[in-house]
Amino acid sequence: MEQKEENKEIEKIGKMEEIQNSLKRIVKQILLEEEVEYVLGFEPGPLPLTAAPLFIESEDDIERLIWTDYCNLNLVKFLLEQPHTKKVGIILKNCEIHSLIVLINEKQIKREDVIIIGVPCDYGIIDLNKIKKIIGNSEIIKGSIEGTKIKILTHKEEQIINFDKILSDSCLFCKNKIPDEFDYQIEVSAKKQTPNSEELMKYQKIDEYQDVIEFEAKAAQERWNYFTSELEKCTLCMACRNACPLCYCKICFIDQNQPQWFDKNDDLSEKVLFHMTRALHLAGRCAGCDACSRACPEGVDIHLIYKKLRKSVRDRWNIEKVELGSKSVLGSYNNEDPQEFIMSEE
Amino acid sequence: MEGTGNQNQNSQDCFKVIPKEELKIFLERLNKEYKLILPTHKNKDKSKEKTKNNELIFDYVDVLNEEYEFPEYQNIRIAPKKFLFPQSEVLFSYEIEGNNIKIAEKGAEINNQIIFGIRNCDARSFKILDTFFSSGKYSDPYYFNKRNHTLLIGIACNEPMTTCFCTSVNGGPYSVEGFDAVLYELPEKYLFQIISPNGEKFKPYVESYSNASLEDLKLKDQNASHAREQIRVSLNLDNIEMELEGLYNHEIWQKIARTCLKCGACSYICPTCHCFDVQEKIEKTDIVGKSIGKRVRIWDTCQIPLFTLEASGHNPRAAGEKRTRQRIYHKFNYYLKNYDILGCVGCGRCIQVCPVNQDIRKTLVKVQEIAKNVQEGD
Repeated sequence: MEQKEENKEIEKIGKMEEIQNSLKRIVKQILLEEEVEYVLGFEPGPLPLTAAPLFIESEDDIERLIWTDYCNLNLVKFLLEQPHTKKVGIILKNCEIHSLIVLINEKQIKREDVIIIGVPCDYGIIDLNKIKKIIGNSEIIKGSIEGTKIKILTHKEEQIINFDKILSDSCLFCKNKIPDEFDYQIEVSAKKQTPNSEELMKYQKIDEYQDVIEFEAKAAQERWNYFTSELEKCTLCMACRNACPLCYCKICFIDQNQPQWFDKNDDLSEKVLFHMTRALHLAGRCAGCDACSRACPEGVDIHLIYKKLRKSVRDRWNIEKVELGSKSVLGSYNNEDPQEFIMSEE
Repeated sequence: MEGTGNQNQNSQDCFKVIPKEELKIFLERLNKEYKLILPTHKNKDKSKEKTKNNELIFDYVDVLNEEYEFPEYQNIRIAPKKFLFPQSEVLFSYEIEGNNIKIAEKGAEINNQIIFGIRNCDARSFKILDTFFSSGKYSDPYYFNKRNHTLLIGIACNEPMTTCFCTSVNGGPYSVEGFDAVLYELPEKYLFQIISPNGEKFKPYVESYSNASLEDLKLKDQNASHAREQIRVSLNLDNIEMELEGLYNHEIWQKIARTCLKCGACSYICPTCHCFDVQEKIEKTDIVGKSIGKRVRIWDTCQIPLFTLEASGHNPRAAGEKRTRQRIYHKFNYYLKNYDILGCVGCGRCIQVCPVNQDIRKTLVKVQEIAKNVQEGD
């Protein structure tokens, strides 16, 4: 049994390496054959289990490229910030591809200006905030991934944590791990498919929105208590908004001061106002990449707000994800749209 | 700055031995005269207190009436800056009715307080804040009202974190600069040392404790060198002001800025960032013209475009690279120019919170490399 486990672990490590090598090959090809300004990927971050965005402009940069379970950002964000003169390549996971699709549909980016390198997800992305909550006040000195477990070393102890405790919430339930839209796709050989993990398979068998359904069943006061205790931690630093590729307003309502909507105090009411308004602006658009939650320096858990929106979109319009060229869910009208608030359905 | 002070500061009678089990009694005695800001578990729920995922924060603790145990920590995630310079602070409140205006100034009464258990980086950050809030013609009453009633009892750092670089910015895990008094942790005991003239106020509290033995002092020195060895990154920032001088228009800022999200995470967590905005919070206004409100000072950050947006609509720092550059220049060039001190204490908090994992140490290394190349190119 132990031997078997070990083999699986080797296969797992091999899989990430395989993806990384394929990525390097494809990026090199793109740099040589296509007229691109750069390709967006990740390089190792300064701390254990961290990755930082990497602009690959020349072959020399390719060596720095990595692919891991902790490439925590949605790189689509960085497409918007830069003025482009040529095409841009970008390495993306499926949910992130869907956030790019929203931007293409909203005419912020042209499909032909982007070369999408789609990477199938393994289990998903590790949420460092979750690890920090488990290990508490010690800093992570070393972290290594072994199969569906992560080994964390702090200056006091070594701790092994199962993936189901530390995966990003959206990844845990996600059933769409293969890129839907791409120019290049990373293939993973069948032999190196993901080993099963009971804890993780459990989530694959239940409704993607099970956590929202359970949360909805709670009393209003309990739900409010949860959100207030989370949002109280918010410092309004805007890391969540700025990590979100779909928050691209030139002037965000929160920064607008003529007229001013928001008094910028750090009262709970202002924090709730900010998060709820931002959420409404993302209704029918949010692709559920969870980059906002992972970007939060305070570890505020806001994923339920956005997941609830996605669930509403699914329940009302039967739309699971935004497709290329489709009309905006909330920006378009259809005779079949549910309109119980206008007239009785009876 | 290590080892500053008079010659007697290293003699045995300058170090009083407080056994660990007596620390609580020591704190209780202090608590009779001072309010105490201590490292404590965020969740006060007794059942959860011991669980390790209960975050440590600085907070007021009434040790005379609450259970308290001094915890172990490398550093507290959120700096104690907020006790002297809170994220939002009411400057005054007002009531307007017709021509009748009532103004209530806030918070003249401040109790003497002690921030206990802070590390050298955070103590030095208060020196930087002191400099800033007293610079120019006016001294900031809101800050100094609290600062003048606050004493700092530090604890030397036995286990610096991997992100610490205090030794590169004139600090050190065993530096005592900025403390009024300091504790050195040894097995079973603390050594207590008075550092500043203000710290003399603690003399009556420690007189009854015995003097440190030579063995204790030896152990303390061993801990000090062990701690210094833990800090792996060492930058030579002696010429950083000049090195930055030639790089104002260099492309490096654009390179660094393009992976930056331009959020305020680094500024808000920084113990030395002090920029603020003043806002009006109108609480109630009715048709008869009666209005109640307050004027509030809130943290601001140079990393967001709104910081420099002018009334005309022009923004001198609209481009992200200009904001990235501002953060580095303010700490490593303007501060030296204006006050002859560095604006960074090397606590490494910005490295830990950055959502895109930028490392200010790497930025400085890059700056120095480029400066060197530029110079050689001349």
